[in-house]
Amino acid sequence: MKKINFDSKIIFALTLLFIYIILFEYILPINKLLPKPSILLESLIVIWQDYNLILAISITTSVVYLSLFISYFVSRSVAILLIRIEFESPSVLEKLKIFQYFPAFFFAIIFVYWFGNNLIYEFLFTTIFSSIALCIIYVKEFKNINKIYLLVAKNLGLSANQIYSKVAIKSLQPNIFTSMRKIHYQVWILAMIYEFIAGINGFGGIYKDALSYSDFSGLFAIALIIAILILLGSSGITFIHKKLFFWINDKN
Amino acid sequence: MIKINCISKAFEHADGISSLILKDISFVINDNKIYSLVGPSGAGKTLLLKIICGFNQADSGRIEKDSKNKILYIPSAPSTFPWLSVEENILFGLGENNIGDISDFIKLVELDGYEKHYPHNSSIGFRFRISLARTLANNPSLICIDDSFNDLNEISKFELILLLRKISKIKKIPILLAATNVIDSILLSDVVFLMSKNPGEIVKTYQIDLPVERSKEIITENRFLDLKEIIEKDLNSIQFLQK
Repeated sequence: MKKINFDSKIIFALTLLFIYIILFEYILPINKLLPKPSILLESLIVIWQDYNLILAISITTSVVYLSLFISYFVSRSVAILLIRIEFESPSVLEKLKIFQYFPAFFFAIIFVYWFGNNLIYEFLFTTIFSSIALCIIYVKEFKNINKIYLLVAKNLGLSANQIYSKVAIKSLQPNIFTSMRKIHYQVWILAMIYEFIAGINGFGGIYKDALSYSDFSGLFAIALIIAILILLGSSGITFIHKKLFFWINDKN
Repeated sequence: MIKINCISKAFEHADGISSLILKDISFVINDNKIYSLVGPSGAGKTLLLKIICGFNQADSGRIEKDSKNKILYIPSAPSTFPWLSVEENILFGLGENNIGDISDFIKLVELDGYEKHYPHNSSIGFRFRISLARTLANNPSLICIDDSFNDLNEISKFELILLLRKISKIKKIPILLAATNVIDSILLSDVVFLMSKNPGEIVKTYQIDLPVERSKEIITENRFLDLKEIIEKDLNSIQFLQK
């Protein structure tokens, strides 16, 4: 069944590619909608030099994955505290929900305004964002945790701290990794927004340049490379999820 | 010896009306015996086990026990940690100083060869054996088991009941089982307490005078059938009176 699903995805993608080539290479070669396939292919080669793509890839991927890595460990520790607060006085964190209506774009701008166009602050910004996002997931998922696990751990004589760290946080890992793919995508977007606003040499900075040069095919070529990188990152997260956090928790 | 002394517990509903769930429950748990609490669902069996294990507080009455007595609880739902292997599950909760050879416990619950196996996709019976081994490794003074056999098929259920009985006798650890099924209770226990509902109280005690060594075949013997008939008749009359 999975094989059929995978095959149908490939067939769908190839069909779209075929339509794109026929339509934009031969029928509508000059348009403002999509670039001509042959020019896009050419762009995919030249952008590496024109925009110093290696440097951009190094900067943005380092910022994104280092942020995710650090925030994963930071959130594990902070979440224990937050879960305890939520458990003991449930309305405290509820009040902080007001911040969810503020656009992330605003926070990026305010960060650039406060700290300037520095790579360290871009990294700090994405780390803070992903740590907060992960902590929210921990607190949210804790409400659905299987209470039997906590009861048994308590009965076996574990302290409250041990119950939170060895049982609660551990049992939430599959849920965290399910959300991690979404957070991974959001961190990519935020890193690029920050780079775009601050003009840092990552993908966001390159986009700013491509836009100022009106490099139509370049915009698409960069998007293709970013899509491939996000896909690879997402596959990596799925791989870690399946290898390390393979279990399904019992329902309450 | 653990003495349950006049335990009562009431709950207050949202509308402010209070209802008595447990009323003056008293009994004594002696070493090397297996006890069952049998009663209709809602009689407060699970609540009583949770009070004995210290998860809930009684409104009145007390549990008299030695401070070093460890009362461990096996819930009705599977309670193994799916992220840990069989071996790690059994070691869970043991302090670093208490970690010893757990192979005896693994053999006792007949899980030898499965030490590195992860139980997240395993059957309820398999997971119950792990919970039992983990409980034994923690050296309990009493094991409280909450109606864990309901979702098992007949073969696995009888196997586990007889295994529990064997382990309790070998290790000289008393067991207190909360059950709704009369056959399971008689097959496993030495003493059966019949509980009523609204409020939950012990209305009758039966000494199960069947041989200490039991097999599945015992359920067709006359004495077993007599006991089953007596307890079921009493249980039905309780349920009838409460309707």
